[in-house]
Amino acid sequence: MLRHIKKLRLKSRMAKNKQQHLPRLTDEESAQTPLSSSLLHNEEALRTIYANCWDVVFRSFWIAQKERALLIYIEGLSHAEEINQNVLAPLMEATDLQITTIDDLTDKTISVAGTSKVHTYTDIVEHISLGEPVLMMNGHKAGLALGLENWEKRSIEEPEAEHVVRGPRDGFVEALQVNTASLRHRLKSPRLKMEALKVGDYTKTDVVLTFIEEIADKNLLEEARNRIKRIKIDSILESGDIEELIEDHPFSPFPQVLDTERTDVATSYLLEGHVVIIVDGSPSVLIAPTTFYSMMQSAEDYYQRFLIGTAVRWLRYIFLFIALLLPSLYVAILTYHHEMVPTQLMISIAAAREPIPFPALVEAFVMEIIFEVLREAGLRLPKQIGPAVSIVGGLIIGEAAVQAGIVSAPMVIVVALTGISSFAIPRYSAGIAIRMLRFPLLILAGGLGLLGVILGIIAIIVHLCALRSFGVPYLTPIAPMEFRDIKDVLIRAPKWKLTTRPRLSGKANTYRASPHQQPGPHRGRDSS
Amino acid sequence: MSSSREPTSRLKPLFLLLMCCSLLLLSACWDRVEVNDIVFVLGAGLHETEDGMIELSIEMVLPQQEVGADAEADSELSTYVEAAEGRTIMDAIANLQQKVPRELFWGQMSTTIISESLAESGMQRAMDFLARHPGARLRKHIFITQEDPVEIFSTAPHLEQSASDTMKELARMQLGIEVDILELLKAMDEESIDIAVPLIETTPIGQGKNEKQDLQINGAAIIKQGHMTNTINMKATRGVLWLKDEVEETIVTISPEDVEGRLTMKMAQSSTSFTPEIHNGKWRLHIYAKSEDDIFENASHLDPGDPDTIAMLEQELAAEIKERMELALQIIQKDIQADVFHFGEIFRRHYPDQWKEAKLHWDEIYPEIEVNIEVETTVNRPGMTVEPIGIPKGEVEE
Amino acid sequence: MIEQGKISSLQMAIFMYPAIIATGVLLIPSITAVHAGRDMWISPIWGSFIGFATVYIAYKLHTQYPGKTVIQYSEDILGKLLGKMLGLIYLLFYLHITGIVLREYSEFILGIFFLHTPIIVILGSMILVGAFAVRGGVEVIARASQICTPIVVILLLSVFIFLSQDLEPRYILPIFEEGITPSLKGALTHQAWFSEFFLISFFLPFLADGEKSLKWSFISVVFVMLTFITANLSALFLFGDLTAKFLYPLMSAARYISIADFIEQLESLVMAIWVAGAFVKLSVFYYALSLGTAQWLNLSEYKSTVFPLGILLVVVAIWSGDNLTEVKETVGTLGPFYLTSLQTVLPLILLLFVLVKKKVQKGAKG
Repeated sequence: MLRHIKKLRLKSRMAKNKQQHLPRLTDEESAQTPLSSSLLHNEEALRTIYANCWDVVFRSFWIAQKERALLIYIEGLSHAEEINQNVLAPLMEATDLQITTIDDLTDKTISVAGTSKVHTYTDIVEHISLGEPVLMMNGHKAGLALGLENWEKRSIEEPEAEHVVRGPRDGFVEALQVNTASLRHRLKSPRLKMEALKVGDYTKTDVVLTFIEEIADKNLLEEARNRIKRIKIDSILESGDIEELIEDHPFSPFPQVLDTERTDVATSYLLEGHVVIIVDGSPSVLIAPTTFYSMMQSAEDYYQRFLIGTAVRWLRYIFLFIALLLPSLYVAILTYHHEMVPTQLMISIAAAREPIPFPALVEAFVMEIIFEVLREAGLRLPKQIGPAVSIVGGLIIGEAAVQAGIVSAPMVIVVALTGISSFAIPRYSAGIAIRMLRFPLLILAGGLGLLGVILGIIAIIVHLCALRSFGVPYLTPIAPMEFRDIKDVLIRAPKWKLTTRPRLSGKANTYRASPHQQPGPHRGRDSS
Repeated sequence: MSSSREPTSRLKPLFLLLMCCSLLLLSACWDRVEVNDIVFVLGAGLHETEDGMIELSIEMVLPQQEVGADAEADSELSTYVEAAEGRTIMDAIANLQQKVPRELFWGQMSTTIISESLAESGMQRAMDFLARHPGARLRKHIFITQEDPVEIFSTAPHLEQSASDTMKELARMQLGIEVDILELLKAMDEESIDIAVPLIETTPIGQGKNEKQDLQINGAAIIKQGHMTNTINMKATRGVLWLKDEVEETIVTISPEDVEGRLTMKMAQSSTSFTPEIHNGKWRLHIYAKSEDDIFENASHLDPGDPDTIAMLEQELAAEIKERMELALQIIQKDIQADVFHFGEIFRRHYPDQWKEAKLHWDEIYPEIEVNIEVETTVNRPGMTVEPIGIPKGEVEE
Repeated sequence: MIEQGKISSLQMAIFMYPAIIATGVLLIPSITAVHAGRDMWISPIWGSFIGFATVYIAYKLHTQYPGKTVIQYSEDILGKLLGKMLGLIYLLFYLHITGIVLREYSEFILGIFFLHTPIIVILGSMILVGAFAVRGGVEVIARASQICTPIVVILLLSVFIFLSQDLEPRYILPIFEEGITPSLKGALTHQAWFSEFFLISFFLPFLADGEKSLKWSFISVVFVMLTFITANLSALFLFGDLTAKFLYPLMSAARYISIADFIEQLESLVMAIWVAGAFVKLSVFYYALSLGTAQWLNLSEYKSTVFPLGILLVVVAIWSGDNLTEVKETVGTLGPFYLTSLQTVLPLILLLFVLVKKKVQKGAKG
């Protein structure tokens, strides 16, 4: 008992200590103070802040040969040529300048579009970090941040992980501004709102919460905003960092936030009332809430004819089951239920397995792991070597192993089929979850046969039923059932039938197309 | 809603699952049997020896694969026949198992043969085992043989892969009767129902050097109240099929009076319906059979293109079918007095009250039932050619 | 409230369906066939009257005490001491019944598929999955059964459809061969299963659309009845008078299926039906038991009762009979009276008591 109390005390003390050692949220607390009117003083303060930063340029000059001025920027982050042409040249070459406030400069001399006034050191540091040069003048308590940032960006390319045959090829890039711009380009309505938040003490990463006003549910927005604001961390490097910090069930193998690099996908989810979270420096944006079924959809379902879209969707559902179950069913039948396969087939399989020294479970396990390793190796290797690995691994080793009587040919077929099926799941993150769940199912199949597999599936179903993504049940609209929304899950209803938005998040503004738009041979003439 | 839970409680199911998985790994071998450790039994034969022992013979297949590049030689299965005796069937199995180094696996068994000696002394012993065994399947075919089952299994099939397979396919052709365990069980369960089970026998095929033993179905054995009593030949068997409404594919050859040559028809569709009637204590059964046929072979001078000829042919055909049925009735109803056709069932359905009494002395009533047979046939298509081939125009009879 | 989740009436109807048929569809045909013979397909119709009555009684009691389960309102009706005693009776009853359900489930698995596996493994694995669902709450059970029930229904239908070519409808005649009595006797087993609809009294308080609950529960009863009729008919059409001789007619029927030499030996389908159905049944019973226990003990939440009760259930399941014959005997002979008296008759008495009490109070006021 006493020990217990001691432990509790220790815990509470540790908690206190923790609070004290929390990372300092603002490194420049001392710099919170406003600028002084003396340029010399300001320069000194800033030079202390930027001590040992050789990439920060302090450029002193005279405005119209009268006033001392200082321009601070970071090498490479700002457009040097523009600074020369539009800032330094007009200021230094001017002859008669009437400067009463610093605004006069932007009004008359400096021909730069985006400028803002800064008053504190914190502000200055922030703008400089973004790549905006800051101009300060002697005798003025404010500085000017000039929107001349020039960050080397990757050009817009087609996302590697989400190819389509038909559909737009532009994807997101690392630069936040490009991403927001391409969303704005697709959604030309002022209802598209973007809220900027900053996360990470050191990285100061911009995280933009994007949504369409009136469509996105207010509670959902509030929840998303709070979850991002709650993050107290030193750095955010990728949207995956945010994802892990805001999801509902951190121990689930299933992704509860959808990530995409495609602008059209993000746009369509915005239009269905989801929230899109764009993180600076990451080309994949986060979509929340998400459901299990959106993991099984590809953008192209909507660009191809709806019958084909539906068929492809069902194909994916079938392959989902094959990817999850085939190896465990094979093991279960081979070790427990020999009577469940037609005689001829069973005898062929048995003949193939005859020289194999391992139990079926071990054989399956080893083969599956080898397959996963091959996949991983092929992924990480340089592009030139990747195919070579898969050829050596898949073809040569597979063939040789069968020939040598170490692995049976049916097992190779099962593993290969499983692997291919798992790649038919369009979302990488969902596919990998399914692939990992194969292993516990394999063990269950080896231990309890078909019963184990069925129990395993039920456990997975129960888990999926317990999952929520930002409050939305993961299996909506199947469980809980929303009859209205099934038309975009079990089938891909034609565009003219998709007249309502899914109900999972937005309750308001439910209609997205007017009904009775089914085209036909006489529809055009009717209106005239 | 769930965010209020402690993180540790969420880990719990994960740990539990992991624990269970490892537990399974530790002790997962109760019912596990690798394919490498079993041998598939394809067919089983039961035979009663002279001293009352049961001899169990099985045909089993040992999967073997040529390791190497030329896997072409692997088209034929290597099947083995093994037999052992015992006081009961289970006893025989145990004795058999001692001879075979691998576990016998019964789940893929497709046929069961029962020898005449066992069938005569009583099917009960065999059937109870076949129904109770967890690996037993009610759909498996059952045959009776007058030879030793070992001999049946020892034949070298040349179209199918094993003797059991051959029997299965033969039964499925439905030229003869097809009986599975379920049907036999039903017949054994109800005293008033008897059953005909196909007879299988070996037959030499091939010429000269290539002569081999193969199998054929030849007639049927009548099982009456659990004991085999008689056998009937193939012709009577076909009649039984008609009376049981089980004909699916049959060929009828007719040679109409005052016409030279024969015509062969193949049945396309048929049905038999029964109307029972009890009138003044007299049990009567009207059988109405309907058949649609196509002409397959025309070795006569008749012109099937002529409607009159067709009408005549239809009559001839009806007479032929009726004759078949009557033959079967004569043998089975009058001579053997076995209710293979389930007439009792038919009366039970329509006259449940009278049946209750009649059931007790059904063996007396049954042979006395008056059966009226009426056959209606339709000749649908005269085959691909209309007029007989190879006969000069003038000779075709109008 | 111990349970915060809300479900819809439709969801309740969906999980009540497998909660009744799961074990019934496999066990009942042969038990009924013994008594009813060829009239076995009529028995579910008689049995369903008990189902409708039970649902109506549970609903009426619910309207008298909305937001409370039977464990809670029995105290309101009978007073603290008697109410607690009645609650305890119900808890012990459901503990026993759930144990028997669990035992039936594992006997089937053991008898058909896993002859050598220790029973504790089969029991334990099922209880574990069930506990997983019960801890998730009523919403998770409802959603999981929304996925499992269609699977069970589709598999059942496919068994019937695959069988259709082997069915011989002539076995339906003669109807009422021995009069109406055999089918009524057969209904005795059915009504025991139908009386399990009293379980809705544990779920009625958590409905978001309570006004539809009666309608959907009745629909559920109708579907259960139709399923039993279909199961009995297909067993009858396939096996005829032999049905009574089989332990699990549906299982034997599924094994009989053979289509094109390829779709055959479908016991895996039956196993999936059985396990998925038994899972829903177990988790519904198990949930009612956990919730009831927590309410009886006045706990603030029910999740802590789940695992202890799970262990208790395994013990009860093992203790409920020494062998399959004994368990089947209990279900077949004792079951009809035991189940109905506690789930239909006792609630009816409660309801009458309440109504009389109300009337007396009104009379006193007036």
